[in-house]
Amino acid sequence: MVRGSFFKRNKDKKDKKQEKTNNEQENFSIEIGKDLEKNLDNIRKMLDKPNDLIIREFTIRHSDHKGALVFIDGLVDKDVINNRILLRLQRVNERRDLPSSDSKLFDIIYREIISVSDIQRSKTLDDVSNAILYGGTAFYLDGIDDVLIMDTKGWESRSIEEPMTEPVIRGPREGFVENLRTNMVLIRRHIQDPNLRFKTHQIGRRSKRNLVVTYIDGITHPDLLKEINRRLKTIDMDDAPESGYIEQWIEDSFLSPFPQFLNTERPDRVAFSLLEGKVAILLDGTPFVLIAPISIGNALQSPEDYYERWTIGTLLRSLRYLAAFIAIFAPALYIALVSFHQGMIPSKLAFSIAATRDGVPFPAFVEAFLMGVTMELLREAGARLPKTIGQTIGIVGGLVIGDAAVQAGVVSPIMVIVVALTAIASFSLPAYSVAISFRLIRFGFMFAAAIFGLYGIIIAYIMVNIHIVNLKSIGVPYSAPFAPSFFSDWKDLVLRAPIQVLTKRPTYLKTTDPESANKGGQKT
Amino acid sequence: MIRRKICFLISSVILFLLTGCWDQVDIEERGFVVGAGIDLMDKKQNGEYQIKLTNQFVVPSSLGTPAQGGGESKAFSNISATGESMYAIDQEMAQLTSRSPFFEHLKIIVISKDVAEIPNLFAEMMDIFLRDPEMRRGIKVLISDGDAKDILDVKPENEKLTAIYIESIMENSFKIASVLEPVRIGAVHAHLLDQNSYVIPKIAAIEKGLRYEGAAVFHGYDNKMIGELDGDETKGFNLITGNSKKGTLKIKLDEEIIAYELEEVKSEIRVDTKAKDNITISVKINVEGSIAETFGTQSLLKKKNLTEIQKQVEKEIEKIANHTIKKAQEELRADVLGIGNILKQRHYEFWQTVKNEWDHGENYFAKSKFNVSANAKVRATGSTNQTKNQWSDR
Amino acid sequence: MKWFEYGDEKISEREIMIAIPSMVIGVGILSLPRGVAAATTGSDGWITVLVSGIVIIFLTWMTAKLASSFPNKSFLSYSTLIVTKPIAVILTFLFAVTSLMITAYEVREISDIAKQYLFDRTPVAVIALSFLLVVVYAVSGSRAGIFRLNMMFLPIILFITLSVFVFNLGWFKLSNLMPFFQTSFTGYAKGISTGITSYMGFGIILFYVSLVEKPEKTPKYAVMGMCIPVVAYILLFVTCIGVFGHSVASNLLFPTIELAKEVDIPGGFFERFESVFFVIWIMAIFNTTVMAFDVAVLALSSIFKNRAKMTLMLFLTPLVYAVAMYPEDLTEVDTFGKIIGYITAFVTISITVLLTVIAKLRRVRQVD
Repeated sequence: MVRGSFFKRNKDKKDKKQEKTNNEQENFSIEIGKDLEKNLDNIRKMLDKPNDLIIREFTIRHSDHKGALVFIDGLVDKDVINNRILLRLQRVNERRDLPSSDSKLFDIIYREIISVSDIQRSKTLDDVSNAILYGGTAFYLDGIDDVLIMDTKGWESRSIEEPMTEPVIRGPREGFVENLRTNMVLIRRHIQDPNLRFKTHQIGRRSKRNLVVTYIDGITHPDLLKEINRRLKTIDMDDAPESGYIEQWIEDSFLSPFPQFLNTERPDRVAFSLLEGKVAILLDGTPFVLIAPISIGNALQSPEDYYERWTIGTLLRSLRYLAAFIAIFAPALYIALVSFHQGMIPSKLAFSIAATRDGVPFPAFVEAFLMGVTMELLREAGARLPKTIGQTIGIVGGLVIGDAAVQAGVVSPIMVIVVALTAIASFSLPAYSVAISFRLIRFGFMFAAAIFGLYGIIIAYIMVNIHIVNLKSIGVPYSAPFAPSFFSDWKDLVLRAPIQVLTKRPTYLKTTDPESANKGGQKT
Repeated sequence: MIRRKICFLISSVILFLLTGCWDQVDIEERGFVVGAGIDLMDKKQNGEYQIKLTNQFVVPSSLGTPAQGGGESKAFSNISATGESMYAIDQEMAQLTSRSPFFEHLKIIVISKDVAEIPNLFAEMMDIFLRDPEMRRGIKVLISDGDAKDILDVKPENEKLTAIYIESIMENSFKIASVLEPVRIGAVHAHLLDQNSYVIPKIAAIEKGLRYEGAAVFHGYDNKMIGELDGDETKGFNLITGNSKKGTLKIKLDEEIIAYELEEVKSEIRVDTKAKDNITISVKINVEGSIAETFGTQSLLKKKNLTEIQKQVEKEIEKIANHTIKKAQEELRADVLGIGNILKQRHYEFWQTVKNEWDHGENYFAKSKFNVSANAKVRATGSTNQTKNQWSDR
Repeated sequence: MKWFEYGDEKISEREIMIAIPSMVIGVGILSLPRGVAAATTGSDGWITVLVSGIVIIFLTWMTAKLASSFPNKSFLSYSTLIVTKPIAVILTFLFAVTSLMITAYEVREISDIAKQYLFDRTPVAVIALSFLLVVVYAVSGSRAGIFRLNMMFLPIILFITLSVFVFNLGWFKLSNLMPFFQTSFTGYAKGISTGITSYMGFGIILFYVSLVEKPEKTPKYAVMGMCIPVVAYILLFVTCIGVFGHSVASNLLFPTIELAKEVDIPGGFFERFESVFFVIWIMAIFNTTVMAFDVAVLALSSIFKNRAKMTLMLFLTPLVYAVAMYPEDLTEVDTFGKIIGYITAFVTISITVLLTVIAKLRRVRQVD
């Protein structure tokens, strides 16, 4: 509720701001007039005569009708403009005579002459500027206060490749690209269901960016959709260059360390989530698609779990739960055991840890913290460096951490093992955003362990749990299906039951069609 | 919602401000005590006893890591302190060592015979080891013939720490019937509370190392050590109580020595409670085993020989058991065999009538009659029948 | 603008089933074997644990029946229907006070045990404060969140109970259980009274049933929930006697923790299982404390209608802390615990029986 009013306040501010900007830019008219020159002047002024703005003025052949094509170089497919528009307009009366009246001519041009599939009539300058900035072409005809807007998009874009961030061993090799249309196609190709819906929103005050909400009608709960659409409408910022902006604007709790959306580059993952009854949000210009609502269990799932046989899938899942445990708790447990509860370490190990730590100048917490930070630095450096020299980091880091630090007596060898294990465990988590948040929590646990030992760890664990049970993703409890418990969902949580058994969609999503498969299979 | 977050933030800030890391002691600053020895110094005028406590501290740096191999120096240091009470000793100990003693890895407690023989002193010594939550109930207790400190001073050859060495001796000596099962301090606690008589394994320092054999007998009512069981008597004790699972018996078949290896010992004790003064206790010992060693040339596959061997084994067992019972009844007059417990568990009402004078005063235990019967089986003869042949048989 | 509340409805009966064992299992079981063993002979204590369990299960059923015959009504409003408004307010207030005392006792006890088994020099006051603050954090969240916490923690708690049992099988001696059936009648009576106080906590049903959407089946689920602690208690008690023998079990301060101390993890991965056991047990105690505090807040906010939850908690938290810190030493804490046990038993049982009987006599029913 508080959050709601927070938005409201913003909105009031925004309205005032909008008025102000409108006042400043009053030197060109918003409406499209009948005078071609004036119209062209308007658009030039609005965009401040950029040199990639191309205005091609011409006369329609054998007539004195003047026209102009407006588009931005580089965003358009020039072949389309040359062959489908310009050529046809210039050669128009090779076939027959043209009516002399402006409006009739305009009608004929719209209906018969221009052979572009996506064409619209429009009356405002805003539409024109939005269209041409998104690869459209505008056609003005002198004496008409209408304008034709044609879709002539044709810019360079990346081809479909295997996703960089989520490689799988078995599974489709295609990943989303920056182009919204291509991404929609990728999803359509996965789900050939007439009920697959794409709802478009325009995001951004200055940059108008297309955002598409995808779901399957008849599975997704209508309230969920309503809520997502409502939240998307509250978005009010200059631009959303990446889906991360959207995620952060509409998430339930901005203080939470846990991601409340899943982002993925994999169309198969999106398709799977849609069939579960979730909603995907695609944003133009980014290959990362958001999936919501999610729960804590989704964070440790990978599409590959379903591609492998169920025994393997279950093994991989449980391995991942173990990895999550190590990634969060290992350094904290090390601190608690080494500086508080030495009795818990088996005697011989305790003596040898004591021997190796002899001469280490720092308490275990400082030691663990130093190594943890170094590890994060290494990871960050490795991610930023060009690929060709990225390997250097591995060598340098391996040398510095593995050997030199121990030789110099700054850290103990056991600590190196713990840090390495933690790093490996956190790399093995399938979702990067989850791995990051686990890294964050890990430091919290380390602090708690340094203060209270094991008691601190359990207190911190309880606090994280309190947070999780109160957290929601688009209003859906984040802790489902653990609590509130839906036992029927448990067979696809740590376990991955055989495909034939997984006949239900997740209960916590309250799908309108709960069955996803027939247990007995089809009758033959 | 915002309010809740603020509340959460405030509480976590307070939590962090509270930090003092009171209990944080890094592992290398702990003085790990693995073994403790208790000796009697002398008796004071006012009846108080001067006790010497020896703690065996681990010196981790000379224990070494597997990679470095450790140095030649001793991996432990034994530090002794004297005082009237354990608490006073602890204080003194803290002044003697640079690292505060840490008892969570304590493995064994060795108590000298002198301490054990003074009434109640042994129980008092056990108190701190049972009360302190740092201590485990699995600590093993031993009685030493001489000074306990001498035991801890022995430098074993294949182990670096004496206490660990003793512990592994105790755990690996299950093949010897003349040795008691290790006694955990938790079990001692139960005996002390129930006022049972009980036995604790004994250890002695000999010229080259340690000798682990026999048992010290404690009387529950007097609360002190009253005697010992030697190797054979301990064997008898193990057979009667069915504690021993392994071990060998030496028997003779036609003047040739045969070693019989016990593999399974089961004992069954039944008490016949007709009257207080006429208690009959029947002990049935069932053993199964194999022939471990022969010195003769008898063929073991002959039915006649096997029955003979079994008969001899039974005889031997009865002999050993009766010897132990005789010792317990006549010399020690203490119910170390746990007959009292059986009475309590199976004949609770009868036990109520005798429990106050069971093995002291009237001493119904010493007056009761024992019938020992053994039943032996030879399961296997080893992998060969005869290792050498006698010409005459051909 | 209403914030969307999808999937966050009222609680279900199943959550009541989980809440009851979460509430009942707390500090009580840690020392229960001592009290029961001291009163009985051999392993006879299990009979008293079972009998008191059956009594409690019956009372639970009665309580749930009473509360569920007034669906979606708070304790204050249905007790107003049965007895008059002033008496209902007094009863609610009584409940709030006992719940607050339970909260204070649990906070104190956990700090004392933590100090004994995990810490050496950390002051009890600090441990108690840190624990109480986390409790406050949980209570300040949504009420459905508390039930979800129960669901998250209870399986872990039952798992650790089971593992204490399994790992101790090696030390278990059947002969320690004997003799059977030798306890005197007074011994049984004393054991049963100890048992009953250790099962306290089912009073929360009186308040929480009003949150259940369709409470017709609540009595059945409440009984099922109550069976969990009864089984767990009997299991732990018998293990205690079988492992330690009767005399030791009745002399150990916290036999259940000492039981964990006996455990040797196969493979020697780590030692001192009791630290792990106790640390996990903190979750059980946490659940109990949170629900006791929440019931107190719920009861008080039904009396003082115009006070916000946060204001109430801001006032109650220092109070609870002060009460928790009031006893000076272990014996005082022990007496404190006993008094609270008896008061809670008296208040819960008498109110339930009273209300049921009067409701029957006056034929008060739910008026729609």
